[in-house]
Amino acid sequence: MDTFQFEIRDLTKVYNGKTVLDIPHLTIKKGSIYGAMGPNGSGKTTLLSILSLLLSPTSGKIYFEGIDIDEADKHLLRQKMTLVLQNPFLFSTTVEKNVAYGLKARGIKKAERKKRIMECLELVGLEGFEKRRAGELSGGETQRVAIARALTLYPKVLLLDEPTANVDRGSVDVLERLLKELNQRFRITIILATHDINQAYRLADEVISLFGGKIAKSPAENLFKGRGLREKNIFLFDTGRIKVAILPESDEVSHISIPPEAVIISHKPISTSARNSFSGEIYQVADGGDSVSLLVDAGEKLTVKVTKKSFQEMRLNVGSRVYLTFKSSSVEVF
Amino acid sequence: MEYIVEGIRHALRLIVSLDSEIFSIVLLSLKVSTIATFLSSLVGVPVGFFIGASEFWGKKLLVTIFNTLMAFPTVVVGLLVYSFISRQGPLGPLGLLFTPRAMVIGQFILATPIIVALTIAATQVIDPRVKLTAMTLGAGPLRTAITILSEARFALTAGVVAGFGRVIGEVGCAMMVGGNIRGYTRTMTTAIALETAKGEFGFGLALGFILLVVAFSVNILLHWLQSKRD
Amino acid sequence: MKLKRYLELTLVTLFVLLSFSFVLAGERLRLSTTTSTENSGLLDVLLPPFEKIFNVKMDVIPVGTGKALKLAENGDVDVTMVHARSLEDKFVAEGYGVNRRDVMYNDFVIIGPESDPARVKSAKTADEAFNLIVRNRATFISRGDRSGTHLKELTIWEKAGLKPSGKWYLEAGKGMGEVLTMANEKRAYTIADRGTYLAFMGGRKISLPVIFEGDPILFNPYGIIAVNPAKYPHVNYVKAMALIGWVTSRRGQKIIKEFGKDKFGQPLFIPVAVPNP
Repeated sequence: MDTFQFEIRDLTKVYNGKTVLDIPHLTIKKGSIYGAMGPNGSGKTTLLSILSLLLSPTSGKIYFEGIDIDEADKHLLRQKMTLVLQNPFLFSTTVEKNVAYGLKARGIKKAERKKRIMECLELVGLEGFEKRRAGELSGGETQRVAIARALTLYPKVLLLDEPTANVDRGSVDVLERLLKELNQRFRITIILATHDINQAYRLADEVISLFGGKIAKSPAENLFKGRGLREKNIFLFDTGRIKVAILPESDEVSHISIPPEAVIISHKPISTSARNSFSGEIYQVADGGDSVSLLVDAGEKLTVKVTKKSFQEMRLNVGSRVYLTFKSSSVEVF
Repeated sequence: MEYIVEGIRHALRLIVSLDSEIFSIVLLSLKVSTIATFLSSLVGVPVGFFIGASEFWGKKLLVTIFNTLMAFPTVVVGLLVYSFISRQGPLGPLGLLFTPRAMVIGQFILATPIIVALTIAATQVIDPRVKLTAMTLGAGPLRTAITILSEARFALTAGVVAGFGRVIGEVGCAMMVGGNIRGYTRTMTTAIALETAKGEFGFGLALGFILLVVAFSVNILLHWLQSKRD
Repeated sequence: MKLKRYLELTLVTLFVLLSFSFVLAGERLRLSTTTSTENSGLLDVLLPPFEKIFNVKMDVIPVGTGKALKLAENGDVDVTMVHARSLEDKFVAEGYGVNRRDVMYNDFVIIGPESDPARVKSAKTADEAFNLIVRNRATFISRGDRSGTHLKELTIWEKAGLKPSGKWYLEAGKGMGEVLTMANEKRAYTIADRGTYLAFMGGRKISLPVIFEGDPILFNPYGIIAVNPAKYPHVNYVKAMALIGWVTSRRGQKIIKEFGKDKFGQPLFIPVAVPNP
């Protein structure tokens, strides 16, 4: 079996006393597309920064193609991969000069530079854009120039942080197709961070779900699609069947996830400050080791977890009518 | 009031007649101030960049010091330089006093704090993504520094222009260390001081008018050059 | 892009050339003197022949009397010419200067407003004139800068036994020209060297008549002194002596005698080194 592109062991990253990443083990295969998915603040950007060697972990080991990065020449390794930022920065000059930057940094001669620039601009569908000024480009064009700029260096790994977040609808398609083509034609390992679940599943061969800095074993639970709306001063998320109160969000919310552990289950409605309260019926009970998983139909089908003790004390069973209560702050938005 | 009209008329007469003394005075002013500003930029831009781009204890204090030095009175700088290059001073044997070289030194001391302070400001407002992007593309520290400075080029040019403006129009230092020797260390500003003291207000204004035209032309040239840089 | 490169190259070359053109040409001799001396224009006529004959370039540094002597004290000039006898004597006595020679003299005049409110015209001596000014509290502008003119003024106050102070006594701390302008603005009295006064009157910059003149105390002798080479071995002593020789020679003294005649109708200075130049 060939070595992995990346292998991570016991990785942690702590900022101001807060642990933003905690990954005991992760492998990235060569030549695959990976989607790092999770809500804002789940550690996607941090993970990408650490993988592209721009940030050092607080603890843990990273192996690039089997080599311990702490023992390798980071400068050399960095040359094998490129990170494209969410809002990529283009230098205030022409497209051509931007795309040439990395090549110049490596001392590549003019003739070879010109060749690669043309090559890469063609790949991203921006032939003829050489003399355009960076400031005149649209969001989608900017992203593509940034990608072209990264490609000229023939990287083995391409990391992208929310590549289509700031891009117009039409360009999203173009970009996604481009990424797929780069992977298939050149076998470039692609790791992209996104909060768009659909995009992740569309593009990636494997999806890594991040939640609170940790890798979730399965994708976020109690995941619902829908849209956000505002009634008077309350921010709500409408799944089509139920309306869930969430914290004020300025971005567009397309999905929510309600952590099972955050849901309080009771026989009678409880009076708390929690905004969300739904009544439903338990239709399935499963053993979850030292906890019990309950599936409740409250309009939408929700998974709730309780301790074995609570399960017995409350005499819960299939068919029990229950109330589910949780705070708007515990709802994860995507 | 008539001084002003008379001054402008006098200035035009002088320019048209290509008066040789005026010519040498203007040329000397340009020589001294251009060289001083150039040297100041050579030193000030890298220094300003280092201070602006790094974090260290005492950085705020250093920035404040440079900002204060910008307003240093020209006569005081002149006195300080004089005390060094006078025969009595440590650099006496070099025979620098009352030469154009001494004026360049004095103006260098005047312009550098301005260029440093403005470069620091220019560096600090640069998008932090510049450094990050340069690094991800494989740029080493020197290339990254040059890229950052290139992104800041408008602000940097403003700094150099400000430095030049300060020295081409100063008289206290030039007078003190240059001596206002006719044909040798007489600049536009020291000549204006002399003529005004003689009561020749019209002539003084004429020279002042020419000084403005010269400074204006240099600015235009600098901006044109910088725009071509793209 | 080619044009840009070419332009840059031209500019850099020009620049390099310019910075080297500060090279000195020929031998130089530094003279510190007073602003009034330089402003009179005498040196523009007196020095060029000397420069030619002795093949030396003169650097004339016009400053206040105090500073002129200070520069000489510091060895920053080779020779100095001022008009402040007591200071000059002190200068030589302290060993800073050698070979002092009298060159010429001009005189000071007391000028003031046509209306002469203090009735200075009636005075017989300079100190009496000053007395009248004090008694009438007439506005008087003083140089206030320890220049030769200022020192002369102070000598007269001393002779009159007076210490001038009050709102009417304005110490300007400025050069002769500026003080004249100020006196003209305020229609005040002041004391000025005849040379600068005539130049300003001729140029129609002021319109104050001479109210008092002629008292010998108002005579203003000029002396030229070489900086002591024993103290400052680097000074150009040889050429300094040559200059002293020149200004006190028959030819030099004749130039001094003639100066001002065509412009003001009267000579500004009276040569004293040679009996009848």
